[in-house]
Amino acid sequence: MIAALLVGTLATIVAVILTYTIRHYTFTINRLVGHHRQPYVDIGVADWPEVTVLVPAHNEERVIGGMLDALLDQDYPADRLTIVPINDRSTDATATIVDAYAERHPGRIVPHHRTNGVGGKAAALRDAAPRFGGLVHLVFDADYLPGRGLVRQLVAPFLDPEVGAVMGRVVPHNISRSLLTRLLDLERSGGYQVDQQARMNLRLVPQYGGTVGGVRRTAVEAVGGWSDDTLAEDTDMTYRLLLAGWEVVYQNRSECYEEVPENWPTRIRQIMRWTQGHNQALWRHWWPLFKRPGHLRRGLVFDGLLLLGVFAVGPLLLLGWGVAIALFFMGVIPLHGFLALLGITAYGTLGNFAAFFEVATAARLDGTFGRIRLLPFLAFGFLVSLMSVSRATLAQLFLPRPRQPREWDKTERYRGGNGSSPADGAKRVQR
Amino acid sequence: MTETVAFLLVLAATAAWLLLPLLPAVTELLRPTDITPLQVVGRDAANVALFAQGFRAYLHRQLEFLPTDTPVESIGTLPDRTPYVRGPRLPESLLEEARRERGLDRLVVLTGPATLAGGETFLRERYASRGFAGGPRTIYRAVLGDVGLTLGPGTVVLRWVHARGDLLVGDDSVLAGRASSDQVIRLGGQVHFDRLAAERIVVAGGASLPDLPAPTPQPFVIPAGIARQIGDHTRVTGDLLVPRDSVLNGDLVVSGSVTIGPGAHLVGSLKAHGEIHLGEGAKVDGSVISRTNIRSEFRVTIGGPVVAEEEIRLGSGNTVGQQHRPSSLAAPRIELGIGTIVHGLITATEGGTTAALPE
Amino acid sequence: MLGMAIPRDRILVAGLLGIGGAVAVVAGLNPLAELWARGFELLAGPLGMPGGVGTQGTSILGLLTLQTPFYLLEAGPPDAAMLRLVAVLAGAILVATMALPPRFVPLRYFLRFLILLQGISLGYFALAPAGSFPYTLPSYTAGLIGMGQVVLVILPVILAVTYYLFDISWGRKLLLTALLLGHLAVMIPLQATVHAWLIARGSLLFLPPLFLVFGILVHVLVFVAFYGWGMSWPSTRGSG
Repeated sequence: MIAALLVGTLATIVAVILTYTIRHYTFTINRLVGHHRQPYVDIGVADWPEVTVLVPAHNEERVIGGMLDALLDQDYPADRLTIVPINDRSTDATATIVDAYAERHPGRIVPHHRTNGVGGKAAALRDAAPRFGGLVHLVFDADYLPGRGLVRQLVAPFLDPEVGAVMGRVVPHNISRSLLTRLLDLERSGGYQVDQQARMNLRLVPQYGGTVGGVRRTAVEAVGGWSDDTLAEDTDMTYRLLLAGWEVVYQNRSECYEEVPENWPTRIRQIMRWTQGHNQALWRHWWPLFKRPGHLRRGLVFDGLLLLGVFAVGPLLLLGWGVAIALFFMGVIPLHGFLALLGITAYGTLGNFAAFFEVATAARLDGTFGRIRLLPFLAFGFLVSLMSVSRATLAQLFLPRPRQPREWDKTERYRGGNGSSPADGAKRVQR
Repeated sequence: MTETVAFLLVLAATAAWLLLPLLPAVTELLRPTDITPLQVVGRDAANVALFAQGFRAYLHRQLEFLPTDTPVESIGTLPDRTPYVRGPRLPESLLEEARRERGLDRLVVLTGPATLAGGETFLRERYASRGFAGGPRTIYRAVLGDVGLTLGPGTVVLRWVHARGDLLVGDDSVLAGRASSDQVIRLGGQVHFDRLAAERIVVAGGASLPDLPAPTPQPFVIPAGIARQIGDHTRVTGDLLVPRDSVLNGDLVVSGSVTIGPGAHLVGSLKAHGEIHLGEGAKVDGSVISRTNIRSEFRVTIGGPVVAEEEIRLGSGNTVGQQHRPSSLAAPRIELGIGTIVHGLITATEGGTTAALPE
Repeated sequence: MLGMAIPRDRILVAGLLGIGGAVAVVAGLNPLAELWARGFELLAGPLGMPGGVGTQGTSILGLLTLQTPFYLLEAGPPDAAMLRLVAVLAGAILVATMALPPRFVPLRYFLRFLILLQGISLGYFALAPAGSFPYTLPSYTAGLIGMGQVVLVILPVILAVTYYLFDISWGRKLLLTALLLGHLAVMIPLQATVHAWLIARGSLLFLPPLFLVFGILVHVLVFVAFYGWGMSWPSTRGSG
């Protein structure tokens, strides 16, 4: 009886893993041979609408100047672009730097200073966004470095009245720092070049990722504004817009550099935050999605549910291991198939759950071949992610939520000397 | 003990054998060959004249470093060893060479107005500082004109062409790559193109087109059963027909196909998951976006952009964009009717063509 | 790069090679099993593994009988001394993992996972009734070899759907396939030998962690390592 129950549980878990594996294989094949959808990328000339670029910042003195310089350098009509650095209770020189920029560029840079209230990026957006107009609100983290044409590229899809959110591609620039940064570069490749683009090709659910992207202001207002009670306001917004009838699009060619964690503790904190935020979105949106609003196709709903579950897969895998071990001691065989499947998934990236072949395909499509040899080391990242995701999920389920205002929980900044370029950074770290 | 030693040897051999396929990974880790960030080029759709600008800068640098005693009319090699010819016109010997099957393998720098007879092939870039008129059935790799440029019927441009003045393109020509002008591009009939950019892009034959009578605007309300308001747009489930001369305010998203009747006016933007058909004299102030095809009849006006994921076929006398509000037209396949005017940018990733002119 | 056209003939050849490769491997399994059995016999003496080498025949769809060699070596459950020794060692390693610097986090997690499995095994043998452990060493090594044989058969199929589709020369693809199969053909019996010796000397206490961590997961590691290497090779269009 117990054995039958365990076998049933294991079979269910295997089915879930297989479903994700098939999903990612489908994405990989689609990305290779399917029609590549990028309908808005050739909108190079238009009557560009008013845009507000929001840059939430907490203690970002090292990098905020570089971001503002990059935004001021955009080839977007200056009279239609408002840059809003949101200084969220910084204790370093962020406020001073931002005010100095505002003084030099009156009307173009309009700082928003927060001195109290709930902390965190989501709260900062919720507070600041309603105060600024424009058709589009773009959001960038303070440590990003947008190229000159990026704002225009990200705004173009909003000329489609159905588009509620746009996501560009995030490209790590500090990849030479450590094995971890090189693995995260592979993970990002798989996640964007294959996974996001395939979802765009197949008209599924590309995810708005909270930076290098933007939202339609009126769409956000229509769904109740940014939520400040979630750790993943981006995932939450993706699904709220989707359920309300807006489209989320991904633009692979709208690329922007970012800094990825350079050490494991930072990476663990990052993925734990993502896990809890994503699980919040899973909890809130799985049932409304499952009920399938009339405007959503079955395939989209199914994939949307799978996307919501990507972080829940981690604890499920651990449960599967536990069941497999129990069955092993009970003498129930064969387990080789399950273990093989688990082994295959171990060479992937948790979170977007990109399988190793997805990562390798993405790197080939990017024309970066040598780094694919690092594939076996993905197991390191997987193991850490698996443990972090599971810890975060268990903490979320069993520990009480802290009542104090949410603080910023962000990735460490490695780029120094305000305004330094990725090239400078790369030169500095390559010894 | 001997057995233990033997086992340790087997274990060592097994471990070494296991680690063997990991050698490429370890080598890449310790002595990286591929460790630079992905090149974020910021691929810019807007600057169609990018290559022309690059060529202009290149030419300027090369000519600057020619020996100071180099005559204005000269044949030789540039500092980077590119063969070139410079002068007010091409010498007859080189024209003959250009008319041969192989073509002329020299960069051409024209310092005076020039007219070609036709049938030549130019394997390298051609620069004209004064007016230039090419003959029929001429093949160019690329052309840059500081004033106006005229390309004869049956011209083929392989990479790009740019004119600071007007660019006139004869019937049955092929503009592969990029074609741009700082002013106007005038296209003949059956011209094939990829990307065009100018203040105004005009397909010939517009002068002969009749005007339409002014419509009699009628308010139109979409039936409530098929429409709901989402934010600032109206979403329609299924197909939609907007009757003749209707006026509709606001943005529209249609899950099926949509027909905007003759003379109808949408004061907003339009998106359809299915086909979009714009009737004669219809007007859309904003963008027109379709996941499939867009087809328009005679004298349709669109503010822009116009984007289709399969094909756009504009009828004759259509206008996209305005003089001071240029826009974009983008689809894998595009056909422009006679007398079409587009202000801004046209991108046909699988190829565009202008309609044949009436006999 | 926008995408990659996969010509129909490449898909066809990939499919044929995948299936053909699997069939070829099946045809070669018995001769290979014969070689493995000879290898076991050669190694058994120096390694002090008495009992000889057995062969298990398994009928495959009634078409052929697959021979699977294994060590006829027995191992018993751990005694109390072994249980204590392993418990102390496991505890020591667990403590040691706490001292590992942050950059060794993955190693820390791996070791703790291994310790956990060993701990579960310790608990089982300490508490479960004698003779309840469902596996014997001979059945275990037979299972390990049999699993390896299955892996060899399905590898060409996996390569067909994840590797052969890419624009890499057929020569290189066949080379990678041969190297991978050849590597595992040597790896599998070595792995079984190491497992058998450790379990025979150390007792059945070590069987669970060896199976769960150093069993098929090793084959997967080898596959991914070869796959990553093969996918890093330049494309036939010379763009890599």
